[in-house]
Amino acid sequence: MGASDGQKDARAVVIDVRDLYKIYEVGTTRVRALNGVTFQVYEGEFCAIVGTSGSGKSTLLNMLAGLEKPTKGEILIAGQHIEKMNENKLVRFRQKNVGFIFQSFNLLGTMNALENVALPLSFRGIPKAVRLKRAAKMLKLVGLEKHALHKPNQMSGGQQQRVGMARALVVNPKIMFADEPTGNLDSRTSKEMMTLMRRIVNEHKKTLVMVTHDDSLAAIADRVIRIVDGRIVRIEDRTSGTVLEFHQKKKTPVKQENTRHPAGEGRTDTGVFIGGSQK
Amino acid sequence: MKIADILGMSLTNLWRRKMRTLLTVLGVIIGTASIVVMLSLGIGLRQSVMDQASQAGGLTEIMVYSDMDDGSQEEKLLGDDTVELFSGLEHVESVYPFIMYSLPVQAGKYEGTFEVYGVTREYLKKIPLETGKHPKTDKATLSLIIGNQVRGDFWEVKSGDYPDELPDLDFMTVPLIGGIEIEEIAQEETSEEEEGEEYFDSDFSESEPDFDSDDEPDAEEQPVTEEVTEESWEEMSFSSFTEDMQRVRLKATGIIEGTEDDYSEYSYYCYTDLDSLKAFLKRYYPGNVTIPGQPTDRSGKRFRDLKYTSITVNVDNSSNVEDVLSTIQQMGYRADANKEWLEELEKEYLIIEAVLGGIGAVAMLVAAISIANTMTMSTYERTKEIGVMKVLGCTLGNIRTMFLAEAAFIGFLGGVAGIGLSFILSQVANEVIAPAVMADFDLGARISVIPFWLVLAAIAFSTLIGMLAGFFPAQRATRLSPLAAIRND
Repeated sequence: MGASDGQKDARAVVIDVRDLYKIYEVGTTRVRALNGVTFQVYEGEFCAIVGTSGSGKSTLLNMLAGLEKPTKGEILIAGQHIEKMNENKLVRFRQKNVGFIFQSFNLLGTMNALENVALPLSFRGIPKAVRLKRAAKMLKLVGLEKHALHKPNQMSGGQQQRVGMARALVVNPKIMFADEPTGNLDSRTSKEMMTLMRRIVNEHKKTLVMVTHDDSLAAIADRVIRIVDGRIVRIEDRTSGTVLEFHQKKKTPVKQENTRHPAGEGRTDTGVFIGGSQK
Repeated sequence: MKIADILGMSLTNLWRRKMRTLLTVLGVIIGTASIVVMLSLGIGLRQSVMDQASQAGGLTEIMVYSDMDDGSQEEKLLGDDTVELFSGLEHVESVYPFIMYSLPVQAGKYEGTFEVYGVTREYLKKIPLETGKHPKTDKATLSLIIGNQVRGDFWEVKSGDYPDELPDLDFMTVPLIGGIEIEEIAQEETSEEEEGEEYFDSDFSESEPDFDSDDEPDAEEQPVTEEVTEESWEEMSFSSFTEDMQRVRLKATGIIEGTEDDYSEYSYYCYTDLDSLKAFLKRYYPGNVTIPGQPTDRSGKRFRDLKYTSITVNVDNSSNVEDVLSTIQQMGYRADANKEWLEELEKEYLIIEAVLGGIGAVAMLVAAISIANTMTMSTYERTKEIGVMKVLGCTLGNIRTMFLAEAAFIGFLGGVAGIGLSFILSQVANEVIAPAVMADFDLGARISVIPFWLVLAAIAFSTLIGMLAGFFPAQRATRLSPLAAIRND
C-alpha cells in the first residue's frame, strides 16, 4: 500500500497520486491538462472527481486507469507504479485490479446482457460455464436478471448502464472507475444509478472513483475532489467532515471547515474558488 | 483467453458482416481454384508422361548393353558369368539377360521380320497375353508369343505393298516359316545382313518403330519341326528369302495383349524362352558359323558360348540406382538407367507446374489484398470496441489473435470452397475438354489431376495467405488506443 502522506487516517491507501502532470502539445502551444496533482484514495471509499469540461478530470481518470501516460509524476495503485508499466503489463494490471464503467455504456452489440457481463472474465481465461454463472449473479445484483438474454439495443439507457456496472463488478476488482456514468441518462435514472453505486460500495467494500461534472451527483460520494484547470482546488471529506482548500501553486491547505454535510444532498459551496487559475 | 473463445468472437465478427465476408471469401475461392486448377493441369500432364515412361521400363531398371560394334572387347561381353557378377552386386534384386535374334518370316501371303527376344522364364511369364499361352521350354521347336503390332510390318509378297489396313493375318493359325542363312565363312559385313536382300528389306526394318537392333539385338528361333520343302520362292519377287536359306517352321503359342490401337513395350517384338532360343541357335548354326546378333572375336569367329544382347538389372530401390549404375559402368560395361532421363523429364515438368501455379497465384495475390482491405476496414469500424476490450482487460496478444483468426477463417473458408470449385472445374476439364483436345492421346488420360496432397496444401496455403494478409491489420488493431473507448461518439 502506498504511504499516507501525513494524513492521520488509519484507512489503507489504494490510490496514491503524487505531483502528477500531463502536458499536451497542440501545435506550438502547450496545454497543461494536469498541473501538479497530489491526492490519495482510501480503500472502500466512494470518491468523486468533479470539474467542468476541460478541467482535466477525465485525463486524471484515464491515467488512474492506465489508459494514458502522465508527463511527470507518480501513480501508485495498490502499491504498484503504473506510470512505468508498458501496455501489456497495464492490461494484466487492469485484469487484476480494475473495473470500468463508461459514459456511453460500450456494451458489445453482438452479445446479450449476460454475455456482455461475462466478457471480461473470458479475457481472463475463465471457462464459459463458470463465467456465465458469475455474470448471472452480477446481473441479479444490479436487478437485471430478467433481461439477461436481451441485446443492448433492446434495453433502456439505465438498464444498459446497469449491465455496464455488472460487467465492471464481475471481475471482483479492487477499484472501480466510472467515467461520467450518468452522462447519457436522464436525471431520474441518474439518481437511481447513483443509489445503486452507493449501495454496491457500501455492501461490497469496493473503492469507486467517479468522474462527473455534476455537483449534485458528487454529493453522494464520501470524498469530493474538485479540479479546476488541472489543479485540485478543494478536497472535501464528508466522512470526517474536513475540507481542504488549496491556494494557487501551493499544496498546503489554507482553510479548514468543520461543517458536516448530510450525505446525498446537493452542496451549497460548490462555487467557492480559493485558488485561481493561471490561464 | 481461451482459444475457443477467441475463435468464437472471430466467427461472430465475420457473421455480423456477412456480405462483406462472403465477397472476400469469394475472392479467395477464385484465387485458390485458379492455383489448384493450374497445378492440376501441370500434374496431369506430368503424370500421363511419367505413366507412359514407367510403362516402358521402371525407375529401378538399369540396362546393360553388349558392345556390338567392336568384337575385340571380349571382356565386356555379356555372358552367364556377367549375369552372376551382376546378381552378386549389392541392392540388385534381379537380373534378366536377353538374347535378340531376328529372322525373315513368311506367313501365308505375307512376309516380314520377327525380332525375337529370348528371355528368362520369369520375365516371359510377366508378359500379358491377349490369346494363347506362354511357350514352354522346348528345345525342339521355337515357340513364340507375338506382339500385337508385329503384323503391321508385314507386306504382301506378291505386290511388295503394305496393306492399307492391318493385314488379315492370324499368326496363331497361319503356318510360319522362318529363313535361316548360313554364312560358311565369317564375313566382315554384319551378320544380320542377308544375301540377296532387296530394297524392301531396308524398308521394312526402318518401318519398325522403337526398334533398335544395334542396342538390343536378341535372337530367338523356333525349333524346326520339319524342313520346308521348296516353295515357289522364285515367284515371290518381293521376298527376302533366298535360295540357299534354310526354312524352318516356327510356332506361335500366343499373341501379346492389346488391340490394334494399343501400344506397349512388347507390341513390336516376339518373345520366347531363353533356353529354347539358345538350343535353336546352336542347332541351326553349328560349329563356327556366325549367328546374327552375336558378337565375334577379332578374327571374326563367334564365341563358344552364346552371349547376351543385353542385361536388365533391377535395383531394389530407385535411390540406389545411381550407385549400382556407376558400379557397373566402372566395370567397363555400357549401361544406362531410365531414372536418369526420367529425372530430367520430371524437372522440366516441375518447371511447367511452377509456371502454371505462378499464373494461378496472381488471382490469389488479388484475394490476399482483398483480405487485407477487409481486415483493415474492420479495425477502423471496431476502433471503439477494441478500446473497450482493452480497458476490460483483453491482452494485446488476444486482440491480435482475434484478427488473425478472422483473416485465417476467410482464407480457410475460401480454401475449402475453392477446392470444391477446383474439383468441379477439373471434372469439366477431364470430361468435356480432354476428349475434344486430346483425342489422339491415350483413352482415359486425364488432363487435370488433383492429388490429395494438393487439397491439403491448398487449404493450408489459403489459410496462411489469410493470416499473412491479416497480419498488418491485426498489428494495427493492437496499437489502437484504449482511449477510443472513453471518447463519446
